[in-house]
Amino acid sequence: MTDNEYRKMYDKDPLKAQTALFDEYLGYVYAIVYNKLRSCGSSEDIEECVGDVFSAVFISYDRSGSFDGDLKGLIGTIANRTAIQMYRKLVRHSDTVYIENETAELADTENVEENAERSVLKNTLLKLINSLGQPDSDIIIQKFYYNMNSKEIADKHSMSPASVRMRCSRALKKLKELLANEGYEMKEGNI
Amino acid sequence: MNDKKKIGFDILENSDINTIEEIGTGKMNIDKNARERMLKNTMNKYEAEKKRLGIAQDTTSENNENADSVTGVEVYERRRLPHFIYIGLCSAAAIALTIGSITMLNRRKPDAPEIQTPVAQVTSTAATTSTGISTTTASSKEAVTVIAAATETSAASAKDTTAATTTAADRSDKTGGDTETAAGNTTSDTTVSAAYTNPHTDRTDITQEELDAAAVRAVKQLINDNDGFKNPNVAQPDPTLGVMLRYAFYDVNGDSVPELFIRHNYALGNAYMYVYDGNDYVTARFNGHDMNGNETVQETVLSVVEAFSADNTIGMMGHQGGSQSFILYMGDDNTITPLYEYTLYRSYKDGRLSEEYTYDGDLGKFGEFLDMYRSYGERELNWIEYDLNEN
Repeated sequence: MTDNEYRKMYDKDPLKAQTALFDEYLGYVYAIVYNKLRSCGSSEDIEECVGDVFSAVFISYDRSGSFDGDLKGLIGTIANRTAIQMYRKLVRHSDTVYIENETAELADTENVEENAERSVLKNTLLKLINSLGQPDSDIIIQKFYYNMNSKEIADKHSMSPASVRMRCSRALKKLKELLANEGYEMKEGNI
Repeated sequence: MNDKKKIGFDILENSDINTIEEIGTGKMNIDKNARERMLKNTMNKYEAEKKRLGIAQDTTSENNENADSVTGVEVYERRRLPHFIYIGLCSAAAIALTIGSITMLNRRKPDAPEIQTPVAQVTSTAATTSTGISTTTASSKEAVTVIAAATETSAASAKDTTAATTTAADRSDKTGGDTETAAGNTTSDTTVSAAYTNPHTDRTDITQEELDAAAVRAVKQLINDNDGFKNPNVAQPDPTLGVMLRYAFYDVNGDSVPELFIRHNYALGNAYMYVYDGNDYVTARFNGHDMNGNETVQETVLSVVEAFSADNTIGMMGHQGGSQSFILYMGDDNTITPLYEYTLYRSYKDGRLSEEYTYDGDLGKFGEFLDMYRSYGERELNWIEYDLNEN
């Protein structure tokens, strides 16, 4: 959906336009929010944050009458910022007293070398996961990144949960072999 | 030393948007209910924020009509949707109630006594029965049995102890010769074996690794419980083979949690079926009848325990021409109900005594049972050999 398409639809029926935009970008927004909050928030927190994001997007349009520039980019930016705000709120409510100092320290002493290494690791892992091919790569991501259970994955792939468990087990074994070939070892705590 | 770098899925946390897109934003499975919830939440927040910022007033000149229609449509949708759901639910409930009532009436046989609890055995030879009350006193002092009131009422009119626990319907089905084996052994023939509820789990996040580990634990426990495994020389039928043990997973009842089958050849061999309780594989049980016709809780352990090709069914067969054999039905919730039971003196169908006979040395009666047993067809499982040296 482009800015123009949204405007035309909005002029005819605002609710319909908002629902269409919501449906088109729900997965995108959810993934961004999930990525930020997965370590500290519940699924309710994530859903709450998704609501905040779309509400902010709709308000943004209502105030200016258009989306400035790339619609997807705007939604991504709002989602990212809203998720970070929610993350800070959630962490502050937990027992982590020094989070503000810690965040500041991280920002100040940004370790370029460490970030670069982390980026390489990310790319390597994603490359190897993708090399597993479909649907194994999807199953691995859904299982270990999105924390979906076997039944949810099974529903998405029209498989039985038992088949998903079996495929996942084999794919993980293969992924470990691929990582070993690249000189890495899978952390057991992640499995 | 292992100098490999450690890597885990946590490396993907806090990825930038490009990486998130590479991971795949479409891979997130958002179900319809979650989507509805989030949309509703979004619109509530949006409306509240609009009011707070006064946007509705600012846009009155241009969008007043649209703004009203948004609110109006939302309210309208809210009212209409529950109405349809309400009608749908009422219709479904009415249909379910009708079908359920018809099914219940069809299944319920008029002569079937109402048994609320499994009946324990009476082994006395001269029992006197009190009328209309749920206790039976045995004069020989060997046993006292509690029998459900419904059975007792019909039994109360019986003149002799042999028939004392036999319902009127059962008596009419029997021939005169039946009393030969029944004499001196009043039984719980009138009982219908209730489904036995085994442990069950609703977990949907069970991994194959978890099941593998639970299976190995069950195998190790089995080995520890049988000292003979530590002495391979006693393995039979061929001691030269040594003791062998293997296990297999198979989902008998289609609840997506596989049952565990174990077989070994120690001491003429035995087979087992376990159910998963969410943490461990535990022995499954069912209400069956022993050789004396007494209803007892039995375990799914016998010379042969096998999954049948027919859905939700397993078979169990004993040594020596099936001195005791079963065809069992397993429900989705791990309940087990006997469909057919064979013993040397009696056979049962759906938990109810169907035939009583003297022991047939030629195993003719067993032959009849065996034909039926075979008609279910054994299902081939993927067996995993367990290395007993690991234990």
